[in-house]
Amino acid sequence: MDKNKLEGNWIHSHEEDADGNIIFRPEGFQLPLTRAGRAAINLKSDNSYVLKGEIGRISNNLLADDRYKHKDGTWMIDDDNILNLNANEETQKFKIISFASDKLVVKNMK
Amino acid sequence: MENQTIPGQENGKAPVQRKCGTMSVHYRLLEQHPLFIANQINIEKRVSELKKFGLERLIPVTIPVVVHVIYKNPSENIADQQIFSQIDVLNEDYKALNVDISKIPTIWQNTTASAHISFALAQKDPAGNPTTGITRTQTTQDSFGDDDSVKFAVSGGADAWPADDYLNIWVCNLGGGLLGYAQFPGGPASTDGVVILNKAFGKGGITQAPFHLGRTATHEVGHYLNLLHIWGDTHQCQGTDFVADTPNAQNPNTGKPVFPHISCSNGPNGDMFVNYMDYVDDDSMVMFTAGQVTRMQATLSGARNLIGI
Repeated sequence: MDKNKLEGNWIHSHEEDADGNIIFRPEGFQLPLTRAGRAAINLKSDNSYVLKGEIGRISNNLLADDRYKHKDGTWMIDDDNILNLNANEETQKFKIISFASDKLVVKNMK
Repeated sequence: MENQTIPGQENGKAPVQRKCGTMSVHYRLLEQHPLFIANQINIEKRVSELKKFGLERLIPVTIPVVVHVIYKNPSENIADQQIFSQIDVLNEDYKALNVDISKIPTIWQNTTASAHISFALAQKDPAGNPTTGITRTQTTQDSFGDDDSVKFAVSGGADAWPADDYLNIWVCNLGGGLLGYAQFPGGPASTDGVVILNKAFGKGGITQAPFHLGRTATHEVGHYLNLLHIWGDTHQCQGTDFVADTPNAQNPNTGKPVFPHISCSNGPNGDMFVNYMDYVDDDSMVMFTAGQVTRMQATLSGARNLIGI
C-alpha cells in the first residue's frame, strides 16, 4: 500500500478490538475517555515513529506517575503489507488488515 | 504487596539504559537529578522508620492548594463551583468520609483508614496577598502533553507556586487521552504537583462520565504523597506498591469490576480494585488502606514536611 497514506498519528481504539485485530483511529477522532490511556503511534514522513503506550496491551500504556511510556524508532511497509517498527535492533511486525482514512486495522504477527 | 526497591530503580541504582527506548519524565528525573534519587531513597527509609517507631505527624494536616486553570476556549475556563467540588471530594476521600465507602467488600472494610489530610484553597499567595487559590491563564495551546509544558508560563501554562507551601494542581485540556499525571515527592519544585484533565476534574461543569466524580485528582494526589499503583507497575505479579495490606495484583483493573477479581493467586478476595490507586471508574474507587495512610503520613513527616505548616 501507499506508505504516504499511513503517515500521521494513529490512536488505539481498544474498545473496537476483536478477533486479534487492533483498531486505530486518526488523530482528532472522538474516542471515549479512559484512565489507562491510549496507545498512539505517530508515523512520520521521514520514516521515524514515536509510540506512546504499548500497542495491543492497554494495561501497559502508562508509567508509575501516569505519564505515557515513549518509544521511538523507524518504520516501513514491506511488499506483504506488513508494518515493521524497528527500535533498538528489535522489530515488531503488524499485518495491515485494512486501511481507510478514518480506520486502520492491523494484527500483531509477534 | 510490598518488597524492597525504589520506584523506577533496581538495586538502588538509577537505570543506566532504558529498554526499548522508553522515556518518561519520571525516569528523566531519576537520571538527570541526583537529588531526586537521594530523596526517593530517603523517603523509603522514612517509611521504614515510621513503620517501626510510629507516626510523628498523625495529626490532621491541611494542605493549601492552588488550582491553575489553563484554558484556550471559554468553556475550558471552568467555573469556581467545579473547583470547589474537587476540593470537597479530596476532603472526603482523604478522611474516609466519602458516602460511597459502603461499596467496599466486607473483607476489606476493616482495612480502610482515614489519612487525616484536609485540603483548602490557598488564602494567601506567595507574596502574602489575599487570594482565591485559583489562577486563570488563557493560552494559545490547543492541548498539553505529559511533558510539563503546562507548568511554565513560557510554554503557555502557569508557573508553579512554591512547592513547600502549596499543592499545585494544573487543570487543562490534557491531550493524548490522559486523565492526569503526577510528580512523586523529591523532584524539582518548579514541576511539583499534579495535572488533571479539565473534563475529569471535580464534579459537574464540563466533567464527563465515568470520570465525573473527582477521583482522578484523588488518585494523582496519592502519587504526590508517594503512593504507587496497587499492581506495582509490572505485569508479572512481581511488582510492588511498598504497601503490605494491598493484595498483589497482576494488572490494573478498569471500568466497573465485579468482586472478586482474582489474579496473582490472590484468591479468594482478589485484587483490591476499589482502591483509589487502581484504574477503575470514578464510582468504583472508594478507599485507601491503613498501609497506604502510613506511607502518605511518612511523606508528610519527611519529604513534604513543610506543607501545611
